[in-house]
Amino acid sequence: MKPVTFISRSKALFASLILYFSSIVATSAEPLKIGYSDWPGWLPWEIAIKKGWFEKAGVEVDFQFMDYVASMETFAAGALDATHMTNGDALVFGSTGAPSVAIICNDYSNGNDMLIARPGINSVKDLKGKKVGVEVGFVSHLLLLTALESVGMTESDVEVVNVPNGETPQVLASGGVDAICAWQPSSGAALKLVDGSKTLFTSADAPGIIYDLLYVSPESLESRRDDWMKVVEVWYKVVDFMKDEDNIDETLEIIAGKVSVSPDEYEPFLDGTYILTLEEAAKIWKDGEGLGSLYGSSRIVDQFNVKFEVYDEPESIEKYLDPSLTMKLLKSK
Amino acid sequence: MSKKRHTRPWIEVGREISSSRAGILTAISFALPLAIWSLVSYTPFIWHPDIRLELPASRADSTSVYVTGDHVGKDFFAEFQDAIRAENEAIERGETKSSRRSNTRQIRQVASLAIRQGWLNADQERDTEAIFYIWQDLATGERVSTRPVLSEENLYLVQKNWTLLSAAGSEYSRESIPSTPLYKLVPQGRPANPDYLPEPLAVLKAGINAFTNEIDEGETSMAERTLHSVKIVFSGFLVSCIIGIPLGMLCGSISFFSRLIEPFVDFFRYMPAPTFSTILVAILLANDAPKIAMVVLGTLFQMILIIAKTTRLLDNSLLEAAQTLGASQKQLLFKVIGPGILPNLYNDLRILLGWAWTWLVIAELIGVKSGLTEFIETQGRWRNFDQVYPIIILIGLIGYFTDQFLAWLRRPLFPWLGEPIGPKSRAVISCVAYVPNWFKDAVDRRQPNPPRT
Amino acid sequence: MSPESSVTKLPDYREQSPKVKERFERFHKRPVVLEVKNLGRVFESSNGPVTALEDVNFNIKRREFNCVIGPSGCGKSTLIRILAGLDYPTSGQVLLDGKPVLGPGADRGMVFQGYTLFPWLTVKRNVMFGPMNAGESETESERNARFWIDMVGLSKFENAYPYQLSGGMKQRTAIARALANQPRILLMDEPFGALDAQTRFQMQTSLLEIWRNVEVTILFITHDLEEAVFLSDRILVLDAHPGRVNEMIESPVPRPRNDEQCVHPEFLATKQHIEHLIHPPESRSDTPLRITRMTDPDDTVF
Repeated sequence: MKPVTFISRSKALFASLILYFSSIVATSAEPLKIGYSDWPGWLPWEIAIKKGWFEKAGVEVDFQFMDYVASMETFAAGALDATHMTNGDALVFGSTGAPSVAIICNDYSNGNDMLIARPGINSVKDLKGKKVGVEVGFVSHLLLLTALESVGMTESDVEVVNVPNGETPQVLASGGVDAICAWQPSSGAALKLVDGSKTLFTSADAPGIIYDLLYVSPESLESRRDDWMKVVEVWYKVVDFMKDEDNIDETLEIIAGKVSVSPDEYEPFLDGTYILTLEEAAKIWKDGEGLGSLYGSSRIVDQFNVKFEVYDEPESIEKYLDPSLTMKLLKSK
Repeated sequence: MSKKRHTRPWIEVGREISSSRAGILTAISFALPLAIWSLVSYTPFIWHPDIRLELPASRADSTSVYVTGDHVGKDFFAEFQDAIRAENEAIERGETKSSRRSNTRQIRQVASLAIRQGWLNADQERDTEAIFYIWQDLATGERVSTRPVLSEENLYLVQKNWTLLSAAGSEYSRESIPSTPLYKLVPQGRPANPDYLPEPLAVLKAGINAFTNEIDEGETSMAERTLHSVKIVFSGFLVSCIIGIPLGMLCGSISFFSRLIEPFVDFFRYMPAPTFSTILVAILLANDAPKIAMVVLGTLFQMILIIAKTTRLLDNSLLEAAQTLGASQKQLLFKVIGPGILPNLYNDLRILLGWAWTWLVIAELIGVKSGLTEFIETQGRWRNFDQVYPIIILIGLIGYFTDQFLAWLRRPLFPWLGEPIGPKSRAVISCVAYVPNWFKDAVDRRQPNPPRT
Repeated sequence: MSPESSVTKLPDYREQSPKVKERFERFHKRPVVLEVKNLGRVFESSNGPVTALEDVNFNIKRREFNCVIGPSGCGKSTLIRILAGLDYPTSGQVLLDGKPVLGPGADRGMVFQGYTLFPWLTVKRNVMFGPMNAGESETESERNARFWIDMVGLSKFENAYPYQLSGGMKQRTAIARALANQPRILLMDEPFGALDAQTRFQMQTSLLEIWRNVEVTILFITHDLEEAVFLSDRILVLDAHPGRVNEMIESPVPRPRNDEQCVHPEFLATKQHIEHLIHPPESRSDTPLRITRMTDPDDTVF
């Protein structure tokens, strides 16, 4: 082998390898990177993606579908410009130093977050001393604590087992726990998987405790406010589409397909997640006491989190919420 | 082939079995599990603890909707049937409210049956108008369902529903969907094994469908998923090779580098690679890069140690001989160690490539799930195990055939080893005979009998 | 068996015929190629230092064929490895053409008992290995390689891989490979030790033929007395534990050598003398084996 040709050949190979890998690593800074997960209130974005409404609105977006906790971690790691969280989990993540500002309130949970027990357990009180599988520190944990509190129990009355939301059906079926706390579609899967299993408590029993929102990183909101305004506009276009009964079949087809559930099976989930119209959202964005306001709800959850030592110091609620984009859209209509 | 060889016993300690017998046993080793699987699947009195639904079913008191093909336990099935009968009685008594939407759902109860009978196309599942006329045909006896055969009870319910449906005329219009509630068909089903043990034919069908089904725009086809997975594995493996082979060779040949690098590598490989997943996402963001990095993390450190060991195994006297021929340190590395360890290195890389595949599953779940693993994950969550098995088998096949291909390629690649070309390699060669002829030529070139004195 | 009881009285090995004497006179006028001065090698072991070589001194003349022989443990392999530069002395030094040897180099070719051909190279490429590493052009080294391969009689096999060659052919290739570098001295470490008797004799004859026609000095290690006497001008006999020079013998056997010489008195005398040096009669143990008779009394073989 002639050394000269060998070297030049390996140089060329090396150069092309670098090109190849830089193409993998390099991510264009242009589109807004938005994380979302399988919650029924966030899947409707699929409608806008499928129908090309973002292109029409003139904003480039890159929606990244992940597990709920993974999406928050990726956002906290700075790899996403925005992600979807419940108002409670935003506080939990914010307490660890990942600031975020909500600009859209997609929905409130109206039954899709469920506490489900195996056959033989018929009430929350029966859970005393039993094992409950739940994603510790996040929204389902909050629901569990709320359910326990409603019958005068605390976390110490049950044995909490940390289970990722997506794994809860299998864990309940395996008999490793006596009950699980999960949201749709996992909760529905658990109900179907374990014959005779029952819901003991759902978010419909505590309406307003779980709001689901789009949280943006403060820097991104600062620097690209106009683009985010367009995202808000697209969301309410989606909501209008969904609220028309004639579109139910198409809506179901699109969002159920994303999580590999048949549309017929998915239909009941639509009732468990109340999608807020622009007008309804505007009411919720108003500062006020009680669960009817995002501020009130967040304060209650904040006190709750401190009480149950999810984190130590109360969070300042106002910095997490920015109603201005929603309000601006309402005014323009 | 002499007759004597054939009379050897099949079972004999320490003696290699003939190649024809080896072939038979290889076939049996695959056929046996398949036969057991088929036996358990297709013999109704073996096991079959579940009921597989042949009609969709839902209860008013639950958000769960069961569709055709879902599994329920036998006891639960009976309870379910009774609950539906009770609901129908409540309708009879006029205690149930209804909406146009819920009646639309009831009309679609027979859609899956009609599709299975071939009366409707698969895409007409939500074509209310077409399904409307199926009710008419079923009620009048124009059409008789055979798969499944509708029970007397259900035929009666069909007729009652048709009476309600045709109240506004037997021509379909949006308005002809009544606002009074329709009756629910009582669930029907047949015994089945649990969903984690689908039948072989169902798996085969699902496998074929996975690759032939038309994909909506924006969805990922199975071929794209496969390519993506292969890309992750091979990219990760390539990066590992680019770093690992030179380092491994240096460690194996030069004590200085061995002492400098190996202790840390030896320590690092005990830190489980998956624990780095969130760190990788934070550093490399959420595209393919952290996935590739995961494969690298999983294979690189083992690779360095294995290649160092392989390098050490090279006959030291070859290095001494080269030195007495005046080879410099650099020439020792490139002209002696390099080519000298190549065949063993090749084998190491084959094994390491297998490892890279095992890391794929973890890698693809990092950040944005992707590729074949994402499909397995989501389908597994929904317990569509008939969809999962073909993909698991596919990954196995890709790994197996890559390895077999590389094993066969070894002979033409390293003619100087003088390894005989066995009947198996010959079979592989003839199987891939359509690939460039030069492979065959390469084999032929090294065929002439080795000259000996 | 003592020498006195031999059938015929052998001449003294130092008695040289006039022709041989005259050859050695010319021999001694030749310049020294390799000079070994006060060479010593001590190995560190867990049981303390072990002396392999101690105060070894000798010269090799230009175009000499020298055989090194000695009992096992005399350090002949250590010696040749030090000469090749693959090992280093703990005292003394080795001079090649007056310059000290500090490491392996192309000026000292080596042929190993284990062939050590590069299995991934053909015969021709093996022979081209040294010259090409030294920067010779491909065409030039290929032409030279053909010449050397032809010399060792392997022209037909220049494109064969080592695995296709017999032991003798492998060793011919190794010799051609070493000679292609045109070394000042060719070091051979029991090169024919692994060959069968017939092949070995062929190889010995060929080697002598090559040596006669090529400008090369050979230092040849062997444990075979006949081989040593048959091949060499001078025989360096080493003692064991520690390895020391016992005697440098000038072989009285005339050249050219042939197989008939193996029964000539001067051949036998030299061989016997070396035999005595390596295995002194007083050191031999003649204790018979303790064997119990296990056959029938009348079932005798002698």
